[in-house]
Amino acid sequence: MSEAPYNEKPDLSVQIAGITFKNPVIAASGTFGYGQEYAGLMDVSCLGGICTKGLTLHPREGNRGRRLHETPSGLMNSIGLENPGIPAFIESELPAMLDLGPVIIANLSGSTIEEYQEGARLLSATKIDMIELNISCPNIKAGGMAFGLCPADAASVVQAVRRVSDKPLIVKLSPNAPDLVGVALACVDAGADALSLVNTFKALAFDIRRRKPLFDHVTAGLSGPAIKPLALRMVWDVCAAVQVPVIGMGGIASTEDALEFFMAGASAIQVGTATFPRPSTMIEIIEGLETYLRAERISHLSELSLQGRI
Amino acid sequence: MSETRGCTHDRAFLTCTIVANAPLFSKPGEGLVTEMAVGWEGPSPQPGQFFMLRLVRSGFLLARPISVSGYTKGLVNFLIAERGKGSRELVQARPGEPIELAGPLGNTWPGLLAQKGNREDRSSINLDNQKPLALLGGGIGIAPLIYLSNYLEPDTFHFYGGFRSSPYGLESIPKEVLTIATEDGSAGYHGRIPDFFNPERYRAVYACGPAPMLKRITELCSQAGVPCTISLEERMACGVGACLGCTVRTTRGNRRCCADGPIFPAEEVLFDV
Repeated sequence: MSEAPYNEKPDLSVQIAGITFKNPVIAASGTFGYGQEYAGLMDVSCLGGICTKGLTLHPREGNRGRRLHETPSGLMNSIGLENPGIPAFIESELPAMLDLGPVIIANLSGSTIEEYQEGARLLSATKIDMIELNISCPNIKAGGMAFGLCPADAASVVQAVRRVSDKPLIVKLSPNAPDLVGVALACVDAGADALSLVNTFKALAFDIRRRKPLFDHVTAGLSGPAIKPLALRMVWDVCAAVQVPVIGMGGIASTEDALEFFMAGASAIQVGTATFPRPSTMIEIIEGLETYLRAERISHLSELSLQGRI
Repeated sequence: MSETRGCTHDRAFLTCTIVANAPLFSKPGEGLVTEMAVGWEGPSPQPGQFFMLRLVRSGFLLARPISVSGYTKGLVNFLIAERGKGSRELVQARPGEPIELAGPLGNTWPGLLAQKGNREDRSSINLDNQKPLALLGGGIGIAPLIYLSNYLEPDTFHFYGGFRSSPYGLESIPKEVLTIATEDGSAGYHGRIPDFFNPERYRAVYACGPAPMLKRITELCSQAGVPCTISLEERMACGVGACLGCTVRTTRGNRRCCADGPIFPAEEVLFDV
């Protein structure tokens, strides 16, 4: 382990697929709108990156009925990819987003391969820094997570998007895949520059008074601290199997949580649900990582990985 | 996208201290209602706005959206009703406890910003009209209207408060403009506000309360041709328009209760009840 001078500000920057992030803390898709929503409650410009709300080629109204349910240390959601569509995003949201400072990552979803492809084409003609291919949304009927459950389907979407886009490509994986490592390897083979995981866990809740499922779509996606140990294990497994950078997420709410993901081998992290109750969470993690590296005299976060050392 | 939005980014996320949390109402089966005062050094809230509240020691993941019921420099007041486990934690909190507040969030009642020369507020409310305003609060829904009443001259509004049993929280409303209704008949009119409310006497109606009440008030105002504005409540995660969890269906498509509301022109809202 190299010795960093005690008073020097630690270097938190990371490189992923040729893009430099000033720090490894990224706002997770679907929890940070289009970057403007938290203005005033935290300094958005301090973030390493921001993932947009999940975008589809055409506008989507999202799901009817109840959309949120808090569980012990968790949050179930069934938003259903409500978004204005990629052309409207590019016109109305993207210009201001690009002025914020952090790396801007467009989270791309779709119901068909053609829809993913056309969306990727439009996004690639803009100044966004990266595309995060969402093959893991559990809350839409067609497409979304369906592509992320088996290696062959995942590869076909990634290949199709890779063919039409030169943007650095992150593929966001579902923890619901029976063979997650298989899906991860297939995505890398198909041209993914990086992987991000995990999206939400498919979960269920009933309304015991109405004796019906709480959500109109029956199941919903579980996030929050409740899933952190599960997500950490999955990040560990995928990091052991692939050579590309992995962005870890799933229940991260503190510096300590983030450090565990770096120890599992992640190159960067995303924070989602924890921003809701405490908008300062990501800023505190950035500061906490600096403090930790300085106190432990570690020059870079990449030294924390325990991959190949256990 | 958010024409009714009068909010700016004049807001903050701060760790504050509970100064007081006094019970206003308590009845078995109806839960506790408290008035909480919290030290607040951030930007001033406008009537109709809310904060996301979460005790630092909270056993719950999410903060809870609570409307401002009063504000004097350095101190913000909330009426908190025990609805479930999360709000129970808030009504049981003690003075001196640290609490995190994000806000003020959401838009404001129309007319107020126009008075201040804000051109964004395209309110249809004619402030020069001689008829009074009607403020209608159902239960805990009185909170954002109590705060609004602080901004109004006493002879310019009538306040209607509807409750299941005992009324609470109305001490600041002059008796001569106050009408009370209770479902059990223990005070004021026996019944609900929409049973007897006549909008024709008013230039505009501002209402907050349970969805069935708001739906009936909206219908009454529509029939009378009186402008009606309502403040809605939804489950929220972020409170700032990021998560899209608190969708309100309107004639103009989905709106976010937290960021495009919570105050909406009543005729645009598509009620689910």
